[in-house]
This record gives sequence, C-alpha cells and structure tokens, in this order.
Amino acid sequence: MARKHEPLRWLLSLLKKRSDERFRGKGKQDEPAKEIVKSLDSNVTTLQALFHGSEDLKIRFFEFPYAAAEKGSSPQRRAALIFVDGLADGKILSREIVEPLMYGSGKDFNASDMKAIKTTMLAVGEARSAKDFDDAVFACLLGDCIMFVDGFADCIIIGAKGYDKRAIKPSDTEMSVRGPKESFIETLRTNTALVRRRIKNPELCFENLVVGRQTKTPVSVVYMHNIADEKLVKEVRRRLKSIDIDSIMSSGYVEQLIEDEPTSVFSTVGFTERPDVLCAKLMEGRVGVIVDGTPYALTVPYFFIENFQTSEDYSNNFISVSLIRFFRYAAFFISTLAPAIYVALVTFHHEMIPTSLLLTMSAAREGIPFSAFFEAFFMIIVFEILKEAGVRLPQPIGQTISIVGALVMGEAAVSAGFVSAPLVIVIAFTAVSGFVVSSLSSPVLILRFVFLFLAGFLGGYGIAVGIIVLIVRLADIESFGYRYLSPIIPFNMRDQKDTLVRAPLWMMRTRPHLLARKNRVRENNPIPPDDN
Amino acid sequence: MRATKRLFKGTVAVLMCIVTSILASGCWDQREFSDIAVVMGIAVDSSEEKKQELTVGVQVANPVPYSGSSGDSGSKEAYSDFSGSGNSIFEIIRGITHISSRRLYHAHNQIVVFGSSIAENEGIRRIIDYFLRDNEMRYNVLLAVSEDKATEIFSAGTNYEKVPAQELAELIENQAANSCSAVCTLIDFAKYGTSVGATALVPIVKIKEAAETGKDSGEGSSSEKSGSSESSGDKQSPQKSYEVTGAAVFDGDKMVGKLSEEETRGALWVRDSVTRAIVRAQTEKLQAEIEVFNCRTHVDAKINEEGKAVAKIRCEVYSNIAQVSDSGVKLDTDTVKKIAEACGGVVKEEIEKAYEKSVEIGCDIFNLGEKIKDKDLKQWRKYEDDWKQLYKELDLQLDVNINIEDIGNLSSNVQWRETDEKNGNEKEEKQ
Repeated sequence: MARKHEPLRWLLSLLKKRSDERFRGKGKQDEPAKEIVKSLDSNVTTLQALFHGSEDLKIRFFEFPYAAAEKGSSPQRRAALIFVDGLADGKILSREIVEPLMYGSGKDFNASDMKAIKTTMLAVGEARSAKDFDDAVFACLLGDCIMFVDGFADCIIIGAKGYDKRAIKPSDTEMSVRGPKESFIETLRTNTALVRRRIKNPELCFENLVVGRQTKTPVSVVYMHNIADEKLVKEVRRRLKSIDIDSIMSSGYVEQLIEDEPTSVFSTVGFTERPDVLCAKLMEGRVGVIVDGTPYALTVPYFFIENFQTSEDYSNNFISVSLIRFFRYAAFFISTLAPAIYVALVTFHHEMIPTSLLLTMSAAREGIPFSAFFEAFFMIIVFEILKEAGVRLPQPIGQTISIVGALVMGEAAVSAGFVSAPLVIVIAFTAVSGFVVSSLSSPVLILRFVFLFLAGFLGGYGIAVGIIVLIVRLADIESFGYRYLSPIIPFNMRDQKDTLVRAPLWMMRTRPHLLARKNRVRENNPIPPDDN
Repeated sequence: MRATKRLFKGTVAVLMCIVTSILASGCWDQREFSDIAVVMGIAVDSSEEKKQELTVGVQVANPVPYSGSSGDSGSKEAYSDFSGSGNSIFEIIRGITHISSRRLYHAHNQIVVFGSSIAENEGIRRIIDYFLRDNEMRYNVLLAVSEDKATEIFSAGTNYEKVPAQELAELIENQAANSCSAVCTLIDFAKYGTSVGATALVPIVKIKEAAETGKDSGEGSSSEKSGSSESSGDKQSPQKSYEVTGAAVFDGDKMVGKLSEEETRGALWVRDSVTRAIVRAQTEKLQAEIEVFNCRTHVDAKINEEGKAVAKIRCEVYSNIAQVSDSGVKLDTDTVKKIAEACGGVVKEEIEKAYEKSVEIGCDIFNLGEKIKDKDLKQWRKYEDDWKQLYKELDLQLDVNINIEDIGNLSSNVQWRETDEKNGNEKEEKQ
C-alpha cells in the first residue's frame, strides 16, 4: 500500500527506520510476569511494591468464615480486597463483597478453592480469577477490585468499576435539529453501550485492544460482523496492534498513527461524536474505533464525500437535503477558491469582470497601497488569527474578540484605505463558507493559501493547474485500501445515491457496494412506498 | 539506491511541472487596477488639417468611489477624455501613454464611433484592422457613425450611466426594442464588409440638444425617444442627450449612404433582425398599433435560369394589439384580421422603401447575396461579380403574415361616455 516514489514519504520512512533502530528494545521492559503465591501478605507486599506505594491503592484486610460454625466460632480465612481509590465503587465493595462474606454464616459457602469462592460466595456481576500479577494490576487500574485469599495462589478480579464520569449530553460539535442528540463521552464502556443500544444485534462486535505503553489505553474496534469486510477488520486490527507509543491522550493520536496518508492534509480517518452516526457508518460496512478517554469515535475507511454528509441528511426530505448538499459543495469551493479567484480576476483577467463591476471594484481599490495578492494574503492571516483567538477563549472574552476583529480590523482597515472593501467581502464570505464543511476546515485553509499563491503568480492558469494537481492527488489517496474519492473516482453508478444528491430512503436499497460486499441489501421497500 | 533514483525522478518531475507552468503561462502580465485605465469608448475622426491623418478621442472611466464610501473624491469626474492625432490609430493610442499615467485597457471598450467624414471619404479599413488584430479588443464592441465630428460625441453628459460612452452603447443596444436602428458589432462589420453579398448597417448617432428633447417629450410621438423624454423633466439631467437616427450603409469599409429609421427597419425585417417593434396601421374603422414580439423571416433567394435574381421573402410576425384608437370597437376576428392585413401592408411598404433606397445607394442591404452563397456556392461564384447589377433588377416577392396572438388585457369593448360640454376633461384610458 505504501508508495515509495513520493519524496516526502520516502524521507519519512528513512526517519522512521532511524528512530526504530534507536529505540528498539529500550521501551519494553518485559520482566517475567510474577506469579501469585499462596501467602496473602506476600502477595499484598508484592502488589504494593508494583505500585511503588502509591497513595490511591487501597488495601482492605478482612476475615470471613468459610465453614459452618461448629464450636462457638467458625473457622476464619483471611482475605484482602485491593482496589484503586476513585476507580472502584466503594458501595459495591462493602455491600456486595465484604458484607455477605463477613456476616454470612459460612455454612453455605464452599471455600475449598478460589473457584468455589467465586461461584458460591461472591454476589457480584463480574468475577474472574487470575493467576499472575500483570492481570491483577491491570484489572486494578481499570477500576476493578482484586481479592486475595490467604492460602490460595490465585486471585479473583471483581468487577467493581465505579469511577465518576460525565453525563451524556447533546453533541456540541455535530448539532442536530431532528435526529438523536446523545453524544459520546470519555468512558469507553458507556460509549459501547450507546452503540449497542442502537444496534440490538449480536452481530455487532466489540474487540478490545490496549494501546499505549505507559497509558495502557483501552481501544475498542467495533463493526458489524455480518456486514463489514473481514479484510478491513483485519487491517484495522493490524494497524492498531502495530501502534507503539507511550501514551494515547485522545483518539486523534490513534487517527494519526493508523491513517494511510499522514503527509496529506486530507484526513483519511473520520471521526464523530454521535453514536447514531457511528451506527450508520457501521451499517454501511465501515469499522469504528472507540478510544477510551475521548468522546470521538473514529471510522474507517473515510471518503471525501463523507465530509459533506451529515446525520441530519437522512432525517429530512431528500429534495431539500440534495439542494443543501449542493450548497455544501459550493461552500467548499468558495472557501477554497474565492480569494484566489478574486486575486486572479483583479490582477490578470480584468476582461472577465462585467464592466460595471470592474468600475466599482477598481474604484474601491483606488489608493490601496498593497497589491491584491498581498492584501488577500494578509486578510486571510488576520482572519485565521482572529478565529484561533476566539476558539479557545472563554465566552465573555470571545465577544470582545469578535468586536475588535469585525469593527477594528474590518471597518477601520477599509476606511483607513489599507484594504479594499470588496476584498473584505470576499474574505468574509470565504470564512463563512469555511464553516459549512467544518470537517474540511484545515485542508481548506492550506489549499486556500496554495491557490492564492498560484493565482497571485499565474492567475487563472495557476488555479486551473492547482485544481488538476489537487484532483490527481486526491484520487491517489487511499483509506484502508479504498480510494479516497470513491465512489466518484473510480466511478460507481450504484453508489451515487448518496454522493452529490441523496436519493430517497426507499431508493437506497443497497449498501455501498464497495464496502459491504457480503451483505448488500439494506432494505426491500416497494418503490415508491405504496399504501398497504 | 533505487529510492534515491526515484526521489531524483520525483523532484525533477515536480520542478518540470513548476517550470513549464511558469513558462507556458502566456498571461505573465500581472497588473493591478491602479495600473490600468479602462477605455469605455473610442472615437475616430479624420484630421481637418492634413489628409491621411487621424484624430482619436478616447474616453476612460475614472475609478470614482461610489456613494457610501467616504472621501474627498466626490468632486472627481467619472470619466476623462484623452485625444491625439497621428498617422495611424496604433500610434495614436500608444501615444496616449504620454499623457495618461495609466496604460489604456481596451477589453471593456463599449463603443467605437467613426466620424462620418472618415467613413465616407477614406473608409475605415485600417482602423478596423487594428481593432481586429489587437488582443485586448473585443469582437463584440459596438460600432457607430457620428453625423458630426466623432471626437465630440462623448462630450454630451449622461442621464443614467456615469460615462457617456457607456450610455451611448446602451442606447444603441436598447434600440432593439423598436428595431429602428441596426446594431453592428466589430465582428459583424468585418463579416459583412468583406462579403459582396452583404452590407454592414451601422447606427448613426448624434447629440441632441436639450430644447429639442423638451419639445418632443410632450407628444411621445416618436417611440425611440421615450427613454430620454421621461428624464427630460429632471433638472439634474444634462442639456444634451444622444439620439440614434437610422443607419449608415457601408459598401465594404466605406460609408455610401444613409437609411432613415423607417428604411432601416425595412431592411431589418428582411435581415431577420427585428426582435421587437411597434407597427401602426390604419384600417377603415380605426387606427391600431401592434406590438411585435417576435419575427421570423425566411428568405429564399436564387438566381433563376434567365439570370435574374429572385427573392421570396416570407415574414412571420407575431404580435399583440397594443393600442387602438377607439375602445368602443369590438375586436372580433374580422376586425383583428383587418388590422393584421393593414399592418402587413405597412411592413411590406417599409421593406419596399428600403429596397428602393438600397437600389439608389447600390448596396445589398438585405444580405441576399449571402443567402444565395449559402444555398449554391457554384452559382454564386458565377454571378458574384455582377451581383450589384442583379440586385438592382431584383424580383422581390414579399409575403408578410402578421399573427395577432392577443388583443391585450382589455378583452371587452368599452364605451366611453360622450364628452360633456360642461365637463370637458378627458378620461384617461384604463390601459
């Protein structure tokens, strides 16, 4: 899949080789996993040592009767519960484990071995035994509780996760008017449940992996077993497994490490905050990756046209959606090309401007000290700085920014004669259009500059050359073995029902052919739906 | 090693793309608005003093900020005029760079006006040649002939537009509403002027004095002036305005005669260039005006066995009734038919008048030669040289069919109350 002929890629691969050599062997400190021994105290000491005496590791010793009382008091067995404070739910521990064990009569219990304890004595939903400390430690870190019992050389991992998590709120970044409003949160399990709640089908698979040498972040691969292509699932799994990094702080890390074209400004991995969007993509045969700690799920493969699709599209009338989709494409072109076209017209192709517009524009540009190219260049930079300033500011200060930006930068710059009014209009329109297809905003910004340079030096000819190069480049990109521009390049007539226009729902009878090869039929509605 | 080779290849490919894109770009003439002066009109005259010498006036639109933007430039004129004289138009236009700080930019030129003296005496061949060759000049720039000196034509003020040349160009274009004057672009002129069987008709323009405008405005008799007469009451309007009067007939590149407005329209009926027109006719009962909204003319021209040119012209005219003199008359099928016939007669008469005039001038203003050429090239080659003579003895068979599609919103006849002696004020017609 890797194409070596690209210079940049080749350089990167050189770098990669070097770094591989330098760091190989240093990262992994694979000591042989320590076995659990029979002595409770020894086990607890080992565990404490593994945690380097960390404060939040809590150990609770207790005794419980393990057989019916014969002479006054029952025989007692010492045990210890070990958990990380704040991750495990104290209530579960006290009410479901310690209490029944300690105050139980013991006669019903069979404490001959760990398995028996697990099956007969623990009143919790999830319990499994583990033989070595690696398992135990990791379970602890996930929020589970470990129980050592004196005299047994294994432990029980008790599901007692009970950490604080954020409430499920409406999505901030992908607004919806008609569709469902729930969005993912940072907790992996909640997220998988959100998906599962929408697809009540055992064919929905979650595969868990752990990524991050230090952070050990759980990552879940999710797909429909009867729809998604095995090869695709395998490839996702392979790429996730080959990640060797110390920390995963957000799904963006994973995205950058598994995408096909890290040197391209266009992302070949999609992300969404909404479970319904993820489910819809799964139903098309795509594979999702949910990373613990990030409220954004990744979807692969990701095509160019997906930038123009929103979840709302499928809830509304197909005619209006198709029209709006056209506006989205138009907004994409405007936000990429408008400043370039303006500069090309103003500096090269005066004959293409209608006469009266030419007179108005030349009047507006009268006395402007900069050339149109530099004017546009500076204004785009000014706008981007304003935008960047506004994005990460608290709400009240954000307003100040917009006032300073709009009034001082815009109005004053025009009346002072630094920039021309038509250009301010063009830049403003460009900026507003850029927000329409927000997932493409970063590639669009870069392309805007590229096209601006081309237009400033070569005029319309430069823009044409740029568009050709861009299309060739985009057609060359792949996302997990699929062409980034598909189904337009390569063209597939049957998949056009959800590209430039959205076909009525009753006409979208098949899933995308490219992705869902093994399960094509989506529906079997009469066309158009009749009365009965 | 292989990778290095590939890298080298890739780099060369990228470099070549960049180099070719720069070298191949023919438009390496980047220029800002502040470097150019937008030419709106050019006037060409023959010089009075010396023969063969030209006087050229160029009207340039000034970048005047439009209302709303602040600044002291309110006093600035919306246009400036440059003029020069010399032996060739190219020399003169280049010479203007000496008096204008900005380079002249011709792509937005609206109109080229020729003085009638140069058009009649010398011909405009060499000037047209420059305009056709120059890569900035548009082929659809309008041509006009000025009755007086062309260089003075742009001095009249404007009513609507900011630049007189623009107003003049728009005036000519809007004449299509009445079809009383020809519209001739540069490429039309080149096409017709180089053909034996065709003639370029160029509108004649002149400056109309204010007094004249005022007099006309009350009557509204002459339809093509309605645009200017409406504004004549406005105090802001300038003392002068433009007027298009008929068309100049060019034999090749030389102006040989003039057609009146009526004759121009006669020619346009046959040339299939009438888009809209008003035809007035008198039947025995009433006077009616019809509004033509479409006209399709089919010309079947040939040279028969006897070597005589025959032209069968069929005009299919589609129109509405715009006005009748008496609303009381019921417009039944018969009446409408009579109106149509009367109007057909008027159209026929216009065409015949135009033909008579063209015979007098000696030019095929109907472009009949082109029609024969299109139909039978061999025959045309044979008779090409004698065409002017053949045209004079043309057998013109006219068939004008007026279709009246609609009699207007007033569908029933309206009886006006007879004017009282006491109360003599006339009521306005509803329409």
